[in-house]
Parts: sequence; C-alpha cells; structure tokens
Amino acid sequence: MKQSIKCLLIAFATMFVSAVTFAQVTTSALSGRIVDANGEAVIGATVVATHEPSGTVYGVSANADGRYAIQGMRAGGPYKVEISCMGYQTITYTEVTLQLAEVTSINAELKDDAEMLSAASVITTATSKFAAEKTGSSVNISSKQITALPTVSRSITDVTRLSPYGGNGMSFAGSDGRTANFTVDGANFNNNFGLNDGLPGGGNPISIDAIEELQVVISPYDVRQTNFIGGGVNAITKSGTNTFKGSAYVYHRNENMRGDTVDGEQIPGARDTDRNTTYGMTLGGPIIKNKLFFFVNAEYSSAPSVAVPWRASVDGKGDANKYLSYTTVADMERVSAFVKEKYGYDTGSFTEFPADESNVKLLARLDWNISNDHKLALRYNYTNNTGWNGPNASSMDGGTRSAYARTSLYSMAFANNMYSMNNLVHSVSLDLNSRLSDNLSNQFLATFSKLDDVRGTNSDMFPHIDILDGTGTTTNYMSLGYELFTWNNAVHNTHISVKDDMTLYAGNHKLTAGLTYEYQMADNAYMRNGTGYYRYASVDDFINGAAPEVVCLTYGYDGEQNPAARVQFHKAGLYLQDEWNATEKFKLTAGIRFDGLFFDNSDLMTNNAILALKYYDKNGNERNIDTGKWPTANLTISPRVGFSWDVMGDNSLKVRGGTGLFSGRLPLVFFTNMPTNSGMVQYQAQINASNLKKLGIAGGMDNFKGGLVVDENGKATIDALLKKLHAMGYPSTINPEDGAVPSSISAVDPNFKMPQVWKTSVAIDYAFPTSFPMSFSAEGIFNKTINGVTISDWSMLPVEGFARLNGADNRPMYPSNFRTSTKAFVLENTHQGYGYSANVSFNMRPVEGLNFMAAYTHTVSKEITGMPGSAAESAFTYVPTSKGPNNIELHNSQYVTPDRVIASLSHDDKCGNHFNLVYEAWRGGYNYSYMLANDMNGDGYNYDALYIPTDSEVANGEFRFVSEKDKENFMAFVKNDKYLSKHQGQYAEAYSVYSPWVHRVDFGYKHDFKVKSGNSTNTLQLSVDLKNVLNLFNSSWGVSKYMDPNMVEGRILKFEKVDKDGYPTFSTPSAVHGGTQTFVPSHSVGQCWYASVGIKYMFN
Amino acid sequence: MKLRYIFGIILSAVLAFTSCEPSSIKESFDNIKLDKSYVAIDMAGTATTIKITATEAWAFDEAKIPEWLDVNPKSGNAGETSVSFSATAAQDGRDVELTITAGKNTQFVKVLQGTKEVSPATCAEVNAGPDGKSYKVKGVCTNIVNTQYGNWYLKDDTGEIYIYGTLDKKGATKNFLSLGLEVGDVVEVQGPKTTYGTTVELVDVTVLSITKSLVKVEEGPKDAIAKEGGEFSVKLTYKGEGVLVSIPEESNWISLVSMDYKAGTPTKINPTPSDTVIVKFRADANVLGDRSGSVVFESKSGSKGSTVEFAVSQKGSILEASIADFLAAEEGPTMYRINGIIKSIKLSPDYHNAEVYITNGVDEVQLYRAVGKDKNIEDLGLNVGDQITVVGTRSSYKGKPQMAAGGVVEEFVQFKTVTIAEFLAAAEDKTMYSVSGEITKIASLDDNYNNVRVTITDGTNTVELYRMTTVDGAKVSTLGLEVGGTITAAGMRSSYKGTPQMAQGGVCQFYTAPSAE
Repeated sequence: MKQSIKCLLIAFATMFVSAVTFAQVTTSALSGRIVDANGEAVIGATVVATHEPSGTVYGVSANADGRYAIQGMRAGGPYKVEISCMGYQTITYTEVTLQLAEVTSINAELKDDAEMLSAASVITTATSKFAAEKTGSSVNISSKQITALPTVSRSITDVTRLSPYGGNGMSFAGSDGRTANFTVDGANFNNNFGLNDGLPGGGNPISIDAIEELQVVISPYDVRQTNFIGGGVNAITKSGTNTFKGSAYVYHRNENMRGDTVDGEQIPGARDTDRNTTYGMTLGGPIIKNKLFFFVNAEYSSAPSVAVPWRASVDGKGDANKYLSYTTVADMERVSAFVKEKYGYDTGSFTEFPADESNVKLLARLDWNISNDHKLALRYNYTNNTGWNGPNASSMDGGTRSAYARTSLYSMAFANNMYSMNNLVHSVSLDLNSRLSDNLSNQFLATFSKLDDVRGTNSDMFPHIDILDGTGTTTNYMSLGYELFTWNNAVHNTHISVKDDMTLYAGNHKLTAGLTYEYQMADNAYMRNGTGYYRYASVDDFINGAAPEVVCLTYGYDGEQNPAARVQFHKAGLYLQDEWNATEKFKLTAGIRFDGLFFDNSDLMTNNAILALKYYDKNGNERNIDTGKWPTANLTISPRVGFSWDVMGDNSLKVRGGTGLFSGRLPLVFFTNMPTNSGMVQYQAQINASNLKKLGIAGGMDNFKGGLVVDENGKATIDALLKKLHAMGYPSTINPEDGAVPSSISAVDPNFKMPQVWKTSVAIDYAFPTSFPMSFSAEGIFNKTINGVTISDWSMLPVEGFARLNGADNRPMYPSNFRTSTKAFVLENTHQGYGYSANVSFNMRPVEGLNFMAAYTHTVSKEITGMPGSAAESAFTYVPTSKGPNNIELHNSQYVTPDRVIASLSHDDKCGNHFNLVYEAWRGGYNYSYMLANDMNGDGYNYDALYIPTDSEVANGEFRFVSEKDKENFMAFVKNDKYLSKHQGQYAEAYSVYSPWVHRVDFGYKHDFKVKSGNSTNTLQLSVDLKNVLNLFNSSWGVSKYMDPNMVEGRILKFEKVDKDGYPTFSTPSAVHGGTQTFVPSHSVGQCWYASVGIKYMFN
Repeated sequence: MKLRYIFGIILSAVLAFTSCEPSSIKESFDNIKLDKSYVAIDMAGTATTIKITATEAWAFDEAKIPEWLDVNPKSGNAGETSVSFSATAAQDGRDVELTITAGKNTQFVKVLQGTKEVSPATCAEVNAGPDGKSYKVKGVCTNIVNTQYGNWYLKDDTGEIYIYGTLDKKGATKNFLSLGLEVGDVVEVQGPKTTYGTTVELVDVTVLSITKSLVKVEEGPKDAIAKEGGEFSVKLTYKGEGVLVSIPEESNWISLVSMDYKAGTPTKINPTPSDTVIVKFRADANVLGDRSGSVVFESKSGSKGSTVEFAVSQKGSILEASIADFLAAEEGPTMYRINGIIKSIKLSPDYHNAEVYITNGVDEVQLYRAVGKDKNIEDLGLNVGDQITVVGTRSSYKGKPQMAAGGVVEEFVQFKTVTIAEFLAAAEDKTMYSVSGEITKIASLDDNYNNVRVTITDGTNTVELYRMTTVDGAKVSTLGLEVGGTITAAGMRSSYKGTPQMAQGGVCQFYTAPSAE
C-alpha cells in the first residue's frame, strides 16, 4: 500500500511540468530534486535523458541538495529519463516531452534497492497543458497543433492567434505589431524597418511545415529576454532524427473556393482570377546515426498575375474596353529597334508582361551531437517573395506631369520598364549548447539576419525615357528603360546577434550570467531618376536627337554609388539572474539586465542651415536641431522579479507572477526619417530650360541635343550622365554649409531612449482533481509606460497661450502664426501610458485524442500615440485631439482588441480522421474616434476630437448649432450611440469607439490513408481547411462591421464658424441623424468564407 | 496570508499606475491667465471687459491693435487687472488677433465685433443696401466684359449687378482667367458694394463657388442676321439630360426649326466630351428696323439645372421718317433716317461726337452724341443751317424724345447764305443758296405734291421760291407758313421766263411766324 502511494506521488510529480520561460531561447531544460524515502537528498544520483528520435543523450548528477538541472536540450521528444543511484531502484520515465524555452521538472523519490529487489520502476509521464512553474505569461504551440490548425494563408499569425493575447496579426496585448519580436532559432525575423506591419519575406518568412514549436510570450520575467513591449514569438525549426522522415505537399486555393456575397450583396470582382498553389517538401534524417542529422524544407508558391493589360494598337486608335492604346505598334517597333541599334539596349517585349507572383522558401538545418556534453545546431533560411508591377503611372520630376499613365489608353511601355518587388530573407543561426560540468552549462548563440525589401528589374542599366505624343500637350505616349523609381530603391536591414549564457547550479540556486551583443543596420535607399531620366516631346524628337524637355539624375555625393538614409547601432547587454528554490513550494527568480545602446554617427552629416534654426521649449528656452547626430549613448536597466508558488504543495493550485522592466523596439524608419529629410544624402538634379536659366548655364537644353549622354563605349550609363552634369557645374560633394532648410525637418531628441515598459502580472493556475487533464488559469497583467515614444513639432507655440472659444466647447484655437519656424518633427519619449489585460483560460483533454481549449481576454491599453504610418508627421498628427498634435491626451490604443474569445476543439480518431474547430470572437480591432468633419482648431490637421455636449449645454445655448434641424439630428444620434451617450460633457477619446463583436468559426478536416511501402507505413493525407465557416451558411454571419463610410471615420459634426458671442457653431452632416446605423457590414471579399485543399504524402 | 500579501502589493502597484496619469496639458500659462480669451463686442462697439490674472508684468503688442479697437489698459503688472475692449460702431463683422507678452510667454486674445460671416443676399437686396457693406450673392454669369480684371454681370431672379474686379484663388487681381468662369456658370461671390454713377457694383469680389453650367453655347451666329431673315443655328454642349429651348415672348420673330443631338465622341485629348446639340432657328424677315432678341437653353441633371441665354440680333430696314414721325415713334432698336437743318451744333472733339439739334422748320429733335460716318464729326465742318441726314434710334432723356447716342450723320448739304439781291444776281448753276425774307405771297400750297410757292422780300428785292418742300418730307402745311412770316429757304438759282427764282426742290430751312401785333 505504502509502495503504491509512493508510486502515485511520483507519478503526480512527473505530471507537474515546471517551467521558466526563456524568450529568444532555442532549447529546453530539465530539472528536479531527487530524494529518498525519508525525503533526504540523494547526492550523486545520475540522471540520463535520451532524446529517443535522435539518440541524443544528456547526463548529469544531483548535487548536495539532491538537485539536478540539464540546460540546452532539444525541445520536443519523446525523451526517456532514467534516474539511478547505487543502492536505489532505478526509475525510468518515458514519453517525456520538453517544451521550447521551458524547464520541465521531474522530481523523483528513489526507493531503497534493499527494500524490494525488483527491476526498475517504469512510469509513463502524462504532461498537462498546465505549465506550473512559469512565472509570466506564455503559450507554447507544438508542430502537431500547427499542422492541425485550419489555415489557408499558412502564415505564422494564423498560428499565434491560439495565444489569448494574439489574434490581430503580430499585435499582442494592444501593442503595435511592428514592435513584436519574432525570432526563429534565436535569429531576428522582425519587420525592423517598419514601413508597414507585415513580417519580412512578404509577410511569410518561413514555412509553417519547418517549425517544430513556437512560443508566444507576453511577460516572461527571465532577464535573458528583451526587445519587445507587447509580445514576442519564438520559433524553433525541425531537426532531423535517426529515422528518415519526409513529406511532400501541395495546397491550393482559388477564387471559386470562397464566398462572393456579404449580407446578401454580391461583391464586385469576387470571382476575378485569384489563385495560389503551394508546393513543398520536408526531409530529415541521420547523416551519422545518433551523431549528425539534417533537415531540409523547400516550398514554392505562385499566383498568376498580369502587370500590364494594355497593348499597342495597329491603327493608332485607342479602345479602353479592349485595352488598346493609342500608341502604335509601328512606333513601338521603331523605338525599340532604334535604341537597340544606337545604344545596344534591349527594351523588352511590348506584347508580353509576365508578372506571376512567386514565393520561394528554403531551409536547411544540421544538428551535431559533438559529444554528450556539446551539441551544435546550424540553420540557414532563405525566402524570396517576388511580385511584378508595371511602371509607375505618371510621376516625374522637372516638368509638368502627364495626366495619363505610362501604360494606359494613351501610352505604352516595354516589358523591361516593369519592376519587381523582392522581399528577401537570409538568416543563419548557430547554436552551441555545452555542459561544462554537472553544475555548469553554457549556451553560445550567434545569429545573422538580412531582411531586405528590394526592387528589381530585368532591364540593363539605362535611363528611363518618357516620350510624349507630339501634340504639344503633356500626354505620355511611350516609356522605356530602367523604371524611374527602381534603381537603388530598397530597404535593407541587417541584424547580427551574439550571446553567451552561463548557468551555474549551486544548492537551491540556479545562477545565470550572460553577455549579449547586437548590431543592427537599417537603411532606406530611394533614388528617383537613379539611372537618369529624359523626356522627349515626340518619337521623332527622340529618334532625331532633338533636345529633350527634361533631364533628371539623382546621385550620391563624393562618388557614393548607393546613397541611403541609414541608421546603425550597437547594443551590448549584460545580465545576471538567480533562480532560487526558496522552499519546496516557492520559487523566486530575480535578475537585472543592463543594455547599452550606441549609435553610429558616421552615416550622418550635420545640415548647418537646419542647425541654425531656433526653436523654443515650453519654458521659452532656445534649442536647436542637429540632424548630424543620433541620440547619445544610453544605458537601460531592467530589473525583474518573478515567483511561482505551489500553494497546496501538490501542484493543484499555483500562484505565479512578477514585476519588472522590459525594453523594446521601435520601427527604425522613425530614425531614418532624420537623414531622409535632412537633404544631405543625395543630390537630385532636375534639369529643364528654366532651371538652367536660373543657374546661368549657357546653351539651355541644347546641352542635351544629339541623343542620350553616352560613355566612350556608346552606352547611356549613369557615370556618363553624371560626368556631364558635374562638367556643367552640378555639385559633386556636400558639406554641412551646403545644407538648405527642407520643407519639414525630422529629428531624434538627443536624449531619446528606446521604449521601456514596467510589467507586473499575477496568475492563478488550478488543476482539477479529475482523472484526465483539466485546468483553469486566470491572469492579470499590468503595464506602465516608462519610456513611451511620441513625436512633437518643435515649431509650434505652446497651446496654453492660445485664445479659447467661449461656450461648452472652449478648445484653444490656433492663431495664424502658431509656428515659429520650419516644421520640426522630433522623436521624443513620453512617460504617459498604461494598460492591463485580464485573461481566463480553460484546457482539458477528457479522452485521448480530444483536446479543448477556451480563453477570454480583456485588454486595455492607453497611450499617447501608436505611431501610425511611417512618416514623422503622420505618426502623431493623425491622432484625434482637441488641443492639437503636440498636446495629445492619453487614449485607448488604436491597436487594442478590447475583448477576445478563442476556443479550439480538436479530435483525432483511430481511423485517421483529424477534426479541428477554432472559434474566435472579438470586439474592436477597428477602433474609431469621433471627430469633427473639419479642422476646427486651425492646426492644419483634420483630426479634431469632438466635444460631446450635454443636453443642458445644448438647451441653454452653451453649445450651438446653426439650425434646429442640425441640433435635433445630432442629439438624436448622440442618444442612440453607446459611446456618445455615456460621454456627454467630454471631448471624445481617440480610438475608443470599437467595432462590434465578430464571431468566426474555422474548420479543418484531414484524413490519413495508410500506405504500406516495404517495411514502413507511409501516410497520404487529404485536407480541407475552411475559414469563416459561418459565412458559408449565411452571408451575414462572420462578417466584420466597420463604421458607415458616410460617417467619414467618425467625423460626425461640422464646425461652421464662431458666432458674434465667440461661441463655435456647428452643423450636422446629412448622414448623421437619429436613424443612422453606426456600423455596417464590411462588403469585401475578405469577409467571406474561404477554403483551401491539400494533399500531403508523409513517409515514416 | 502570503497570497493576500502578494495580491495587496500588486493591486496597490496597479492603482498607482492607473490613477496617477495627470494630463500634462495645462489650460493656461502659470504666469498669465485670462478669464476669457475670445472677447465679443457688439456692433455698436460697447465695451466688454475681461480679467487678467498675472504673476508678472504683461503688455499687449500695441502694433497689433487696430484703429477701430480701443484696449484699456494696454499693459499691467502682477495681480488682477480688468481690461476693457471697445470699438467704433461697425457695419460688417470684424475681428483681430491680439497678443499679450508676459515673461517669455505669448498669450493670444481674439477680439470679435459681430461676425465676419457675410449672409447671403439677392441682387435686389444688394441694389437696395448701403454702399460699403459686404454681400454674398449667388447668380448666373450673364456677360463677361473684361477678362483681365474680371468685370462681368451676375444675375439672379431679383435683378442684376455688375462685378467690378474678381480676385483669383489666392486673392490676387488681374488673374480672372485662372478661375475659368464662363457665361452660364452659377457663381457665388462675396465683396463690398459700391455705386458708380447709377451702376451698382460689387468690387474685387472673392469667388466662393462656381457651378459649371450644364449647358454651354459653343457656336452661334456672330453677326446680326440679315433683315431678310432665314435659318440660323446655335451649337451647344450639355452635360444634363438633353436641352430644353425656350423663346421669350419679345423674341417671337424667332422660331424653333429643329434640334440635332449628337453624343460626344471621345478624342485623345478629351476622353469625356460633352454631348452636343445643334439647334436650328428661323428668323422672320425684318421689315422694321434692327432688332434684338434671345433664345434660352436649359439643361437639367437630377435636381441641378443650368440655363444659358443666347442673344440674337437682326438687321432691319432703316425707316425714312420725318422729324415729327421720329418724335412720335416708339423707343427701341428701330433705325430711322431723318433729315433736318442744323439748328445748333456743339462739337466734342475729344469724344468725336456732337450735340446737334435739327429742325425741319417746325419740329426739332436732339441728336445725342451724333457721330460722323466716315470721318469724325468735328472734321465734317458742319454749321448751323446745314442740312444733314442722320441715322439712329429713338430714345429719350427725361421724357423728351431724342435720337440715341451714336446717331450717324450719313450725308450733309452745305448752303451759301446770300442776300436776295445776291441770289438774283447769281449764276444759274448747281450752287445751293440759302436766302431769307418775309413772305409776301403764298401762291400755292399743296400737301399732295407737298410743295409750296411763296414770294419773299427783303424790303428791296423780291424773289419767288418755286415749289419749296420740307427738309424731312413732312407735309408743307405743317410748316404753318403765313404771309408776314420769315422764311429761310435753300435751293438752286433758276429762272422762269427770264425772271430769277429758286428752283423747284428747294427746302424750307427755318421759318418764323409773323409776330402777333
């Protein structure tokens, strides 16, 4: 009896999988305490864990407290863990699965061998979803779960929605998705530049078939993690094992596999060709058994597309319906032949414009068990997403722009005038895990990521040439050459990280010390007219070598070939952490992290004209802007404390939590805006007759008579044109004194610090005393902004001194000269901002093969600005405010989804059927602000928060309408609107009107057919994934609602004028009245159901 | 216990985060505060007072205080100060932005008198209103007179006003063409009223809106239609639903013949052309004098509609008329040709016209600002007594009939004024003589043949004026000749059986009835 109780206890102990989350960590760990029947430590007990698929062996001995720990283990499993000691029975645990970045705890009680001379006990572990020893918030998703999830886009964000804090792209817990940290095997896979919010590689940098496991972290108190504010996603890739395993798959979707109707109304274009086929394979296996393994993945997808539908006409008669241009075939042929003969340039076809969008992903990984103590993993990933576009419509410099596009009824271009958009990812990760002694282990991780968005072309280097139609009007007729905006047009991002962690196990303490180094370079290169631009009045002019109307060239100073607005910085980090098992029930982690950030100023040059401008702070003290300097080096200190408390001592009730500082990232475009706008990066020569006259250059445009400027080989190269411009007196170098004041200045406050937030969380986990795993968790997270990010315009006078209107809406009105100088948008810190999330979740597995999960999360996030867009001006002036952009009040984050429910039900049966049902419901996500229809305060931005009058203010004339009807309509709307009726007497808070609840159900069904092939059993899997199934049954179901477009994003009242008493008067737009439906179904094809089908063949 | 403790810490930390988020934006500066910064004064200019509370000295920027506004006091020290704002009475609303400097801070104050907003008015209201007040008027542009400054006529249902000067979008003058305003467009303008002579004008107006006409006359007869009448066409482009033609009552000599619609053909230059209609009219033959009329075209699209009026004129016959007939004629465009003897003439060489009174001996008429035909009138050498033929229209001044300005002197005959003795001695040739004398005998007077035989004397010599007639074809009887009256007549020297006489066809120039004794 005693024996069986002991066994049960041990069994229970192994169910308790304890963990401390390590973000940006690529491995798992195992730890525990080994005691004898009396509870005394069994010193020197041997623990041997074997990763069964690969035969990888990890071994360690228990210390003087009976404790052991193994770091740097392969995630996943199954593992066999054998605990033995002379004089004790050996215990073997099987089916142990280790989760990524978590410490699985196996505590064992060894029995005297003398007591019973039987064989070793063998106990099968049963892991629960309930991770008991973690302190903060995280969710792990295994490859099995990823495979089961219904997905059509096959993207990471389709997977991370399983986190209660996810669901909205890469935005977690109400933060800007661009600031989330996504790592693969520890390597940076972020959209660091942040021009948009998609991930690198066109939004899908890695195949989900290559991912072994991923983890979504929100508030881990491990000091090893950094670089995010909202959340992080850490993925590890699959490894090879001792068995050759592989798969080949095809997934397909097209326009007929989706709905075309929303709310009973068919969507135009819903049946237009839109298809995508993905082909892929994986293969993994041993190179040397138990020693060296490989894994490869390749995936290719393509979507047919046409970039230019227009064709030249034979008779010169255009026909818009037939996509026939006025440009004649004869002229196209004539020009093409001419440039071929004279300049040796191939224009490309004018009848075929192939533009298939494609995506290639390749991944290779090697895992080398150097010895039992040293394990090395090396992974390389390549992604290239390519899309083709026709030439830019009509933009140009130095002359009047044509009203007609380069490929249109009026004009044609050649195929080599098209450009491609290539989203490239190269990433390498090297991971060495070593056990230096029983108590000391080390991880060395080095990564390199190159994440570029580059424009490409099939054209040789050649100027872009526009030829007008010769009618004397500015009408495009033909375009050829290297696309005007494509040369050196790229966003480059290079990230290198190196870190080394050393973990020492001493008594009840696990001490970790680490050093990190991170280098990041981001640049934005954009050289319009980079290969030169010529515009001719007619085909004859071009061929006969008449003087062009316009010549342009953008070039770098001092021979710089690829000028770019660039930011580079180095970040060095040092951290120390102690994980202390204070008692058997209570574990405390305490750590501190120091990060120094050092910018490289060599990419910048001061513009003295900007430096000379005078600006004033709130106290009237003068300040200046030096666009030749990044912020001074600064040190960030992030202390963190976390705890985990096993209240009852039987792992049934856990309380965990912690508090600490986290520092994060900011889209780097907000840095490069400074050099971009300082005018010191490149020179844009725009040459036409009047500009030449102004510069006093003799000869006018006749300087360019006789054809394109060519080099000694007769080629129209950039150098040839540049030489000519320099000879004409165009500048070849630049000094700080040469700077001119631009129309607006972007700058970074010299004291700027990267964002930092103080997170505090507390959670309760409860495992029900049922025979099957069933658990419940409740968690609260509180965030306080320490260093938030905002931008202010230093040229604006303080709003405190502005005259205020009379009446209920007495906002300050901007005087005529509210700017004292050139607009200066300066990136600064703010200390305002806070947020909290509350989450409850429930997991159970009532029977084998059936999993159920449900979670509800409520999130509040208040900030000054979410930094929308990528331009400095838009990042803060697009936030609705009553007092102007420098005076934004704290408001709900534009990214927050205040309420979200996620539930998933999966079932696998023995007949090879796999069902997966995901229910997702959310409120918000589209967050609106009630504003005025016009720029009431005169600050020049049409984002003026609405004042919501009270009934009495309207009745007694403190708030005035231009007519009774306007008053009635508006107040009726206020009364009917949930937000407005609750906030009368206040200025409407920005982004506080949430789109209504949306309910979506996704369904995935897979069926496995077993195929016998020799000794092995292979599987043929057919799958169908259906997204938004409810919409299939009723076209109104599962459809998001957005604000009625007639309400112009919430602009529901118009400021008319100030009346004779100094009161503002208002009128109500016709769309706003008592019967107005604020939210209407979104009539877009993305709201309909859609599906994909797949075939996958898996061997072994 | 422990659990409660931990929760306590967390909860208080959270409360600390969320409750202490004071807005960093203050309502006013620390060193100067106004109880009101939008100061409203009534139109009469009655003083309004605000309270300034400051912690240091402050002062208005006096350069910004306009003449119409009185601010008192203009500066002050720390403490509370009442500042009053008063103004002169105003007709239109006005406002000004003032600044107060206190330390390094600049406080803005807006002072309003009335509202600058100009309320919309009709042409009739503008015509009736005072000069100097600004009006906002909406109407159709009926005629553009000057395309540099932008002088044009704006008409609404209540009347018409003259726009004298139009500002471009940037508020500059002499750039009217940039507005693209065309006749037929509905325009809303705003500007101050003035009266120039009798013309009501809005001066240097700001264009608030232009609603392009849905219908536009592209082509129509440029010259007057021949007096014989016949067909003429007007080509219109329109963007509404067809074109409706109406012919005003007073233009009933014009009738509609046909309408030929053509859908617009997209061309390379104009891919969205308007549709076209060619409207054919017929003008009746004009037996009267020159006349003018109009046709009106309307195009509608939904609730919007545009009308455009096209003026048509037709040459007419010139009516030969006596001065008496001319005096009795209607005012209008009808052209008359009248003959008369210059009774008085006053030349205005600067303007190349002349005030001329002509007479037929009995009736007289003023030729207002008559001009010469091929030469300037001052170069014709006209004198009193000369006979002129003049063509012009009938008008009036203060109820008195006259020939309208611009009457053209077609022909004139100058006479050699001689005594009867000299006339008797003169040779018989084509020379025209003018002689005066007292009527001694009226041998015959025949209205049918319209001539009269009189004998005149200067006391010594007598001569017969054979079959004289009137200068303008009026009946001779209307001259009211009587024995004893004095007549001046003009004609050639002839003779009858050796006796000299004034030849048949002479005309009576002037006549003075015998004085009643």
